[in-house]
Amino acid sequence: MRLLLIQKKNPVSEGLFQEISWDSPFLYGIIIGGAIVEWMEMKGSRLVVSLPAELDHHYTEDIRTEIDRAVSNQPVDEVEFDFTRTIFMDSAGIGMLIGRYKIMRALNGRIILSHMNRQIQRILSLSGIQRYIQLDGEEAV
Amino acid sequence: MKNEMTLAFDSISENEGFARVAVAAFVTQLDPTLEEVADIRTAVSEAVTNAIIHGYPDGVHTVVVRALLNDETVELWVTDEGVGMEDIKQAMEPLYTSRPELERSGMGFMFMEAFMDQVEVRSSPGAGTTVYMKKRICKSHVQQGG
Repeated sequence: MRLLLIQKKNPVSEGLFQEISWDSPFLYGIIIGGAIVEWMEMKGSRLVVSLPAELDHHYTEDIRTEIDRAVSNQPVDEVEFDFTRTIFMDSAGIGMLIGRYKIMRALNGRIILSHMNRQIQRILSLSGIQRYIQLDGEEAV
Repeated sequence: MKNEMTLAFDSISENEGFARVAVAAFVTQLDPTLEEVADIRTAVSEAVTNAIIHGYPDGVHTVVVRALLNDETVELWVTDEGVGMEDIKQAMEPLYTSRPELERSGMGFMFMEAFMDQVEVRSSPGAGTTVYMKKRICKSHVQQGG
């Protein structure tokens, strides 16, 4: 039912990400093989961002725009970046995370990273970003 | 064993993924570890993204990636014929970015240097940029998961 509604309302036109209207005010979809998978959702005061498989400059542009819009439109205490699907990240991803860290710090909030694989952890470790950002191995607090 | 390939593609961000996947696939002929492949993917992604964002800030032009496999080494050249740069040393400094408005982390060259054995940059204003990178692929692998 959800997929039908979305597709009727917003046929896939441009970009990978699409804002979709649903009962949750902030629910966004990513198109994977014709199916629409949620990628950003409010859980209480936490915005949970489900990152794509490849987090490079091509994707970070869209992601940061949508997150910034979401946190400016409603009270958000925490932004959780969920890396469950993510198998690749380069310095563009680090730049996006640092930018969101700065915004959430200005809002007296924080960002949380979860479910990173070994390769993502390696990049994070090399970047030194762990000094500022809480990493949650398995379960977000 | 010796093998060489060259890719030429438009400077659009969709091709960042294409370039790193293509190079990674080519490099598998040397039987690298997963970690070595990941290192090369990241380094290629950084160099190609730089070419697209910084080399060609305006318009779509051509980025060329050349890869040369030679026994146990992989050599890469990522070339644009874009704006080039005056101060290569500054560009390679960790956290330096010429375009802070793009939220670049300034870590691109840091990652290239961390993941490859050798990184050299040739550039001059108006004459484009070539990033050369070299990595040795170790033959004496310990089986994964041992």
